[in-house]
Amino acid sequence: MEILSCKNLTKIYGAGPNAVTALDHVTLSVESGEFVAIVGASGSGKSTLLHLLGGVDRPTEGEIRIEDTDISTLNEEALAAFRRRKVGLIYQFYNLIPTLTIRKNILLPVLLDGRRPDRERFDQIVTTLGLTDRLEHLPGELSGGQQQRAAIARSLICRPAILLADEPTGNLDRKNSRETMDLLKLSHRRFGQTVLLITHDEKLALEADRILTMEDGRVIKDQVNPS
Amino acid sequence: MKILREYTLDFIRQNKRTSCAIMIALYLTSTFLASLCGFLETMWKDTITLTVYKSGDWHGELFGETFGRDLPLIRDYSTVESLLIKGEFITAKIEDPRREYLSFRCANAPYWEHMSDKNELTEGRIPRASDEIVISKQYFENNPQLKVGDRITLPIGDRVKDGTVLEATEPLRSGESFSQKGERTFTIVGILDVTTASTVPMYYAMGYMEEEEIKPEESVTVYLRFHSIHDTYRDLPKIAELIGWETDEYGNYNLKYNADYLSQHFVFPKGQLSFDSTMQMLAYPLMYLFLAALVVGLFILIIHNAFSLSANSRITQLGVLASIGASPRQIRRSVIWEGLLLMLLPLPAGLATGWFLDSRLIRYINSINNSARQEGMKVIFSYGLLSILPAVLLTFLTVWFSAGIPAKRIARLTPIEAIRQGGMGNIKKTRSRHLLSRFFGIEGEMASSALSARKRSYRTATISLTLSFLLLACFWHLNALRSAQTDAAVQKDEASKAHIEYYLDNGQAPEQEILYDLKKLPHVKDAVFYSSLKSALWMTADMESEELKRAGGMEAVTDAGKYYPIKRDGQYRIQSYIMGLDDASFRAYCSLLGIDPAPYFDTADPRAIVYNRTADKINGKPSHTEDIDFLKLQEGDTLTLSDKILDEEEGESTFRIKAGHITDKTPLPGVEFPGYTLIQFVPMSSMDALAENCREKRRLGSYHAIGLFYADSRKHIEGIRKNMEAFSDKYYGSGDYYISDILEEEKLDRDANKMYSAVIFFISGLMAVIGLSNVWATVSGTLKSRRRELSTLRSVGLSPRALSRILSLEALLFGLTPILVSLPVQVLFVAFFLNVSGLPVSIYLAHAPFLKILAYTVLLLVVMLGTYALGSRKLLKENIIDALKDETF
Repeated sequence: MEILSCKNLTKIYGAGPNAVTALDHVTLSVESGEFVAIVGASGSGKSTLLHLLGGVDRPTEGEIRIEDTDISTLNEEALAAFRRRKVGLIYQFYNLIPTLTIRKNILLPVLLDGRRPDRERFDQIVTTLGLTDRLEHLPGELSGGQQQRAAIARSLICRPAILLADEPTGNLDRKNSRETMDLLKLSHRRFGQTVLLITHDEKLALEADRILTMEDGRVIKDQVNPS
Repeated sequence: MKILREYTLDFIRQNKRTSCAIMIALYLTSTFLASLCGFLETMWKDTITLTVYKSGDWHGELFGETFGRDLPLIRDYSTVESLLIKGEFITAKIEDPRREYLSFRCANAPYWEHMSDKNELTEGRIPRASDEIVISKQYFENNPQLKVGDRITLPIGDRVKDGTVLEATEPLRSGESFSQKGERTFTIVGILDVTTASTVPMYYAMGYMEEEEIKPEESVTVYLRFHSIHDTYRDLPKIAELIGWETDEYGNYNLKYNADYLSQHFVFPKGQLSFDSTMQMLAYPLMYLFLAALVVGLFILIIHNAFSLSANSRITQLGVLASIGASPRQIRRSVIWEGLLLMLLPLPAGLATGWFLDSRLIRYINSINNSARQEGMKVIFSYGLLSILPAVLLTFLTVWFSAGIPAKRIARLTPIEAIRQGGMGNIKKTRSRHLLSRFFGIEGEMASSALSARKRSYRTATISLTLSFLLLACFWHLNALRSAQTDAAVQKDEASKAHIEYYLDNGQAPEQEILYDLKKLPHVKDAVFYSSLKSALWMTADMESEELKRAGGMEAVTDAGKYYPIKRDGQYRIQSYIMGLDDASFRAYCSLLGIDPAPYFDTADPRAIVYNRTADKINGKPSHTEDIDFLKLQEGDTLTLSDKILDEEEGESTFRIKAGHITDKTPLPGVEFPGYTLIQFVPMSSMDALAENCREKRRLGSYHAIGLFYADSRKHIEGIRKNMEAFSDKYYGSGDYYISDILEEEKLDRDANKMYSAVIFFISGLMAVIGLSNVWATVSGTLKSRRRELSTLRSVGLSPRALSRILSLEALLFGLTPILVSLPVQVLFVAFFLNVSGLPVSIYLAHAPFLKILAYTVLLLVVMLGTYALGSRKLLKENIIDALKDETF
């Protein structure tokens, strides 16, 4: 079942002679439960594609459908709700709120939605990610790996349909990178989530079901990983 | 949204510096607004208190003839709250060598409650019963055996001459007698600080009456108060019509209004005021409102600036929140909550400080010995809801708008834009700075690039700095303009303004010998006495001078409806003042004009020197009017004058006077005459003969003399005055003459200036503090927001000294911009006011606040440099990598 699709997706920065086409009429679709890696050189448009799919940026042209909803036409309030419930975003630089505890950081999407946190789900995620004894600490008191795990926990708390990870291991050492990938794959397998992962690491890319290669704002290769 | 509130609170706690900057700005805002509102409330209430003290709080007066029988109609008029009634004069005969009568009027309880007469009491209390009385202090001066509490029994009756009852206020008539009608016993309950001229042979007193005692045919004076003061101008004429009055030749009823009191309650007559007079009346309130609006605008900018810095500092975090699902509304709320939370402490502190500052200011104002105010009448400090509510509301609105602007801006960004902006800020490409790089190298280029690249971020700060600097400078300029104008007026009047003015009115024609002796007192360099006899002249359009015709003629004057002249049956009625100069002064005047004075002393063939000029008020501005020729007159022309200057006067007498000489020179340069009035000069001794042609009222009105005295030196003014008083006491009773001198006026002016200066100093001081705190907040905030950038520069090898130099250059550029931008605006501002006021530039320059502005500029730059220096020192102490990583602010 198709969970995500985009048609003629275009993003242009600037105007006139200084205009930069970060994304050039990209059309693709992703099935539910797929683990997709997006690879490409710097400036190829990988992050731009991810940000547009995550609703944190607006396309210049084109259509994005997530679970049959055209998110490119949603107003800001609806888009915010979409980001809370349907999508989990993981960044390279964690982007935790430095003044909130890890517990609050993880629960943010739920609290912003005005809902009571699901205690069981929270405990499950926190235990899985090994953050049980770090919950009352501030982000600044955690290591990079721990912060990234907190960011992953935050992205999972609302059980989103899609996980979008923008170079989640880019700032981590090998051990933490390995752990992070394992967590993403665990989330994919256990919770059946669709995962889109941007990575420079070819080895990590090969662990995905499908690899999209981007160059100059376009998808130049779309291959299913036979393994 | 509980989590966002918690996040906001945490953010405030973690970012103490920005929070402090905002709280200081809010504290200053609320302090200034509370002080301003408190001061306005105090001065407004004080103005009302003074007005009520001096004139009472009545609304309108039925100035024409009102009788006892009219009272029920008036009282029953739906909007009337109370009638303040004063009865006719009652005359009592007394045994007193100086004055023969005690004449008193009785007033009802509301009169005593609302009118100012009670404030004239120097001892005792107001009468509350029909047998109680308060009497003029003159009575006790001449009857020292009497005191408050004594009971006196007096015969009551009428002054009669040849079978005719005389008015109680008429001068003593030879052959008059007293016709007793009864007797009354009174208890003296108070002494009034009131004097009357000995021309009328009575002591003034007041009593009490119940309204029921008033007979239907009794003439009464009625003042009114309405339930709603706003009904006064509308309903008083209706009441006049109701009781059967007719309008006068100007279409008006004979009514009076407590105009000052009414205007202080923002009640103005509809459509009867010109734009000029309306603007004059509203000048001060408008000025204060304008100032408050400017200040509120400035504070919005300052606090918006502070909120922008705060919002920008956490833009990344807000972007992250948005990326995980915080809606734009939630983001906006977070920023606004920050503002409201930060307002919790500074607002009450500001209100309290405002109260404190105002109380000190008012105490200082009261300590200035302002003799214009009655003794004991201090300004009462008011600081109630009228002060607090506007301050709270304005502060709240300031926060709402200030926080709302950056909140909206951030909420409009996409999450990814917000996250990106937190790293780099809104940086724009800049052009190369050849000039600065030539003089200061790469450091100069970096300094100006830093400011220029962040032009948008710095814009608000620059505007608010410029505005606060401009506001303060313009304030000082206004103050300097005011002092320059005062000085110019003093200089202008120096030649013509008399050192001492002497006013004599004892009901008799002034005796030339006494006037002569007064003029000859030691150290009197020059003096002139004059009196005036008012008359009316009916003229036709062909009597207009060419200049008057060109100015619109009498038709334009009467159409304006603002001046005495009226048009009737193709003629215009104007006033003519016959000015009697003391004989010696008249001869000197003739000598100046090169004419023979002798013919003017011939009372058989009366003639006058005609000052044939008038101010062209129709075409002039209130501040300045040109003089034009008035009538088409030639020497030898005869004018027929009437002593009836208003239709309401009964009877009429006419007399003729020849124009002996026509001139454009006046012997009384400091004396102003009403517009469109023909002025004629005669010797004072001839005036009596002319006055004999008039009815008694007009004739008696001319029996006064005003003396203008010039001392040979200012140091002798006091001595001359003392000699005048000693001399006058020999011939006149107290109340017959009155003396004033410029030393008194100058003292009043000095006191007023002191008060004004205190207020200016207070406001300037506060605004200076606001400007400087704004500098500190802006600079320290922007430095903090560039921690990462500056740390990156350090990481690639920028030395501490080079960093200090860059920041110093930035400080100078940042600090000089508002000052330089405001300079042309100041020039325009001063030029505008100089043009409007007609003040010469040279006079203004002597008062111009150059030093103050220079001192403040230096102070501003010092604070700017100092803040940058402190900020850079803190930055240099930090570990580079910690600064690169740390997201707290």
